[in-house]
Amino acid sequence: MDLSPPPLSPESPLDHTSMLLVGHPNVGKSVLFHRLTGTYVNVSNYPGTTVEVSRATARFDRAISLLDTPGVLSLPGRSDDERATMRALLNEELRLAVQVGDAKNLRRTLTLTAMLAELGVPMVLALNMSDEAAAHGVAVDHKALGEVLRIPVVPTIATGGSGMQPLIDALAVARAPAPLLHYDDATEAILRSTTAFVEEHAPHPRLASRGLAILFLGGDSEVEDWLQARCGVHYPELLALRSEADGAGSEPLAARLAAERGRAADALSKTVMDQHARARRPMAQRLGQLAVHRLWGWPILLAVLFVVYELVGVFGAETLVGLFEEKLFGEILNPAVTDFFTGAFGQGWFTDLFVGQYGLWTMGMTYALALILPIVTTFFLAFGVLEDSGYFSRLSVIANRMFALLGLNGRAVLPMVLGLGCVTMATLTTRILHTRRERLITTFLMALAIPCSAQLGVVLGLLGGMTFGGTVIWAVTILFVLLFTGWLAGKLVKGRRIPLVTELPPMRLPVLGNVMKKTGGRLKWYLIEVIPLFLLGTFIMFMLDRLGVLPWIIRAGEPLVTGWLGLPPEASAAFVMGFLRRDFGATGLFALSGQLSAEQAVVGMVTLTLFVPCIASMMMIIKEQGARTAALMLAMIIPTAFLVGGILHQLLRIFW
Amino acid sequence: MTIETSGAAIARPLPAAPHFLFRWATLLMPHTARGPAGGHQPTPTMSNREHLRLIGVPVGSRIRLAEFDAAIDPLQREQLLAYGLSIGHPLEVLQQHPLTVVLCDHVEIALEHVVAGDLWVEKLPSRGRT
Repeated sequence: MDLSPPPLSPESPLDHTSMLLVGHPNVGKSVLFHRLTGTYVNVSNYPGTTVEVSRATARFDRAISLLDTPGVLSLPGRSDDERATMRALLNEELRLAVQVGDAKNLRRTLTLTAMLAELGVPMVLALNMSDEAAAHGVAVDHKALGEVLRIPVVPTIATGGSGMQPLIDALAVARAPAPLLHYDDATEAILRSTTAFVEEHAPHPRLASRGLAILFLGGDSEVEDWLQARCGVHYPELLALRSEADGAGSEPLAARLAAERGRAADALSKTVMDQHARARRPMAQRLGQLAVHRLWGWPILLAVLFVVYELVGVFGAETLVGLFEEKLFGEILNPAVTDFFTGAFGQGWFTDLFVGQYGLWTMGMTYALALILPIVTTFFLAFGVLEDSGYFSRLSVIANRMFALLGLNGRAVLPMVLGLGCVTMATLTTRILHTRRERLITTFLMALAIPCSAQLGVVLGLLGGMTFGGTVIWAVTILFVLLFTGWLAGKLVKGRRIPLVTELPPMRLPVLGNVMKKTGGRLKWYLIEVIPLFLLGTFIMFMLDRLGVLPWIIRAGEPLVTGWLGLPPEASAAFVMGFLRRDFGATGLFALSGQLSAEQAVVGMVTLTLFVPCIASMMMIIKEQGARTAALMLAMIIPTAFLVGGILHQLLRIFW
Repeated sequence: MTIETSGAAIARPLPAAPHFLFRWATLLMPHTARGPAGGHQPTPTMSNREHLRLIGVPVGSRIRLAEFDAAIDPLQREQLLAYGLSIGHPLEVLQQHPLTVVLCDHVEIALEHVVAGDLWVEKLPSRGRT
């Protein structure tokens, strides 16, 4: 029996409802989302870029709300991002879905189609990256595939905008695909009982009960929660059905269900796909292999780090900051603004509030625009190029052995590398990790020892300008703290380590437009967050100074800052600023650079790097891990920062 | 037929289980030499070629996934199936160090050695000889 609803005809226009973009990781959903809505969401060449559902109005019909979902490796969902997609399927007023698939990997695409077919979701299949498929010698008979599935199948190249109009036209004739899955008699019997139970006690307004039954039997936690909430007292009966089914076969039920999806996809893909022989392996593939080669991988990593250092630490933090701070602000803007305030308001507290030592312009805006902006701009540019190249995924292979020491696998390198851009956003990205244990350890390590781009730039600017040896000591100390605390956390946090299995996306030449768009978007987001906080921080410093509290804090902090860390008393102010944002504190130390010896600069930067995460990061940690865990992390991070800084000071006094 | 069991071709697995020494020893053996815990009957669809653990297969080999080891974690197996590594599917071994990397339908999949050790494969003739 065909349970699918009738196709949408042009006479029954899509109204007020949601359309879901769904698909495997790294198949181009976000690029397609951008094409269909005009709304830019971050697009990168590694799985896990999208960890939350994004929503925007469709360009072609303002009544349609389009949802971009995180990539799903499989349904039943196992990770947080897969659960987010399942939540959207369960709870959105969903009219239809567009499955975005990788044309060169049809088999895997069809495993998801098979599951969506069981859920009865009206859909269109967009076979994206058709150009890459052709380059790999893959030819898909779209027409034949559409006829078997009984849904529109449209080849697209989202990055180039090809196939967009046919896709939009196809939405009007979307329908639920023909079912592909047929299990053995025993499994079909248990599936029929479970489907009947769901139909009776918890029918879904849009999704087919058979699909929900398969997901429940496969152990999808979102579907479990949804069914439990609706079945009430009958839920234990449903659990009993699953236990009975689990014990019936020689293999676990979830594995039997997954194997059938694979079999069905395999059989169908063979009938509609041709693989032509290729003369030789593409250059991108050979380059990708070199990047993870046991010998060549390391020199390539060092070369990448060197280029990033030259761009951010030398060109950004020295050349550009010199131009902005000394020339533009120091010689032109600051004197002009100071003249204006002194001329208009005379000398006094009001003028000081804007152009004094802790002035909103001379400190807040100068820090944000003259010191931070050039550094983060160059960092985001370098970061965007690396993201689009596909190199970051390869880092997880190279770093796997090191992360094994921390009880993690190489996948955790992705949030950590993203943390070098912004720890706040990276904390959200820990959702790509599979277990709560992995997320907890990674979040803690990022909060402790991963400097964000602004802070990293200030560190490179200060230490790079003074001493290369100091930069190396700073890096080695931070790496040691990261590894040691990670090793300790890996021993203390309960749970087992999950071995690494990951897809390596193809190496691609970064698209300049995408890199610029990402850099622009990140800078906008960064400045919106940074400028108000810098101004607030400056205002607090101004008030503390006026009320005589700052000199008191500096005196009170003297035993710790001067005695234990060996820094000048004024450095206490940098730590006060660091409570608001670590990079604000680091910039405060940067401003003191004339009074610091090389040893003091290293100790100060190490302590500030390990100091409290910024307010935005703390809020994100609370959101992801809960207030109690966040407070516990903070209670461990602050003493660790001062302990490590003090020990380093003592060591450097002896050996440097 | 050649059974690739030389030490150079097999990476040292992570000692995940307490009996890792036993496990390490079994990794060196071709499939038919396994003990009762891992007893194996080739499926009717498979040829009668002997099965090797994936970590013992030289780089550049074309292989077919023969079966999952009984010791594999069910969730891990589900994950591998989701990546397209299903029984009978042809693969190409691209690398063995630092991780095992296989090409599956034009997608490179990196597997830690402890996982690759749980995959039994059989070698296929190379493209040049087919």
